[in-house]
Amino acid sequence: MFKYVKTLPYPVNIKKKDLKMAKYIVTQYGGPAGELGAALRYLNQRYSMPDEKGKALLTDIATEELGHVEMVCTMLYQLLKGATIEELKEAGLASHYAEHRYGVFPTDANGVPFSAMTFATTGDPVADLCEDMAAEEKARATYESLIDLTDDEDLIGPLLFLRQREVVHYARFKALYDEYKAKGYKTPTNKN
Amino acid sequence: MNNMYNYMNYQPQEINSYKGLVQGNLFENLYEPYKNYQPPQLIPHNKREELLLKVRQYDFAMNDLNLYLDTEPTDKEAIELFNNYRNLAFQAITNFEASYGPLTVSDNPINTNKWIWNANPWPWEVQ
Repeated sequence: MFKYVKTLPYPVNIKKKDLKMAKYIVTQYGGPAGELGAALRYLNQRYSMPDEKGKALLTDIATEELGHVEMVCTMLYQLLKGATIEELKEAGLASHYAEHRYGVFPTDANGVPFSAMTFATTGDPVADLCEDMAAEEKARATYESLIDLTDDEDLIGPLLFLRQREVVHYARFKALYDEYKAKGYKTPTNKN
Repeated sequence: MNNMYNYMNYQPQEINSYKGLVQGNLFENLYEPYKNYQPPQLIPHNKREELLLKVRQYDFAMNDLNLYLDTEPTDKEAIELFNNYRNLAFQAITNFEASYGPLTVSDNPINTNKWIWNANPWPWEVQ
């Protein structure tokens, strides 16, 4: 089950406000390489993992990703807060205001709403872990793209942190993938 | 064996939870910088931030060891490190909560006349 800890894992305090970044950062909330998709992917895949290692690793990384969802949403919330209508229009955020005002909503950088089609559960542990490695690399690459797009240090700090977490997650998934591949693990059946 | 990620050979004595939190990685040999970017130092501006920083760095260390142990459950050194950080995190949480209220709703309340779980700030607000 899930309980809530009332803090972010890493601080997000945005003072300078590169407002146009809100349009792009949202991809790590509801986009194809985003934290929400990551959390749901791992929460889904853990059920059909063949042993304790897979069940634990997927559960624990998923839990961490939910905290990252919160960090991304915090960046969005803080970027938008206090922006005038003129500032929003200039930053290309008028359509966001029209649909959400100063609220947050999971979409990609083009406003396409979050979709469960961005992740899969094949039920084959090796295939699933292979997807997880790809997912972490895509997220790492996306954080790099976002860092490239801004000079705002208040954003770069959390983005670097979130990027590094993808590096670590990749390493853990790779370790388990190698082990499962060597063991020739398949989906657990009723016979196991 | 892929030597790029030498995850079997971390050095316990190099583990530093503050540095881990700052760079987002407890394991030096896994750390991968991006271009010339230096992760910023996390400087507390008030007492609340100072105590919260301790909570965050010990919780971070626990989490990174947790993920490592999930796939290497017999690594006794790592288990001991995890237990040490767990104790440090518990103390840091107790210290923080004594002045600033509960971090989880089931933790000890500092004031039983008023329900303070609701109280601001919430994590997404500039602290």
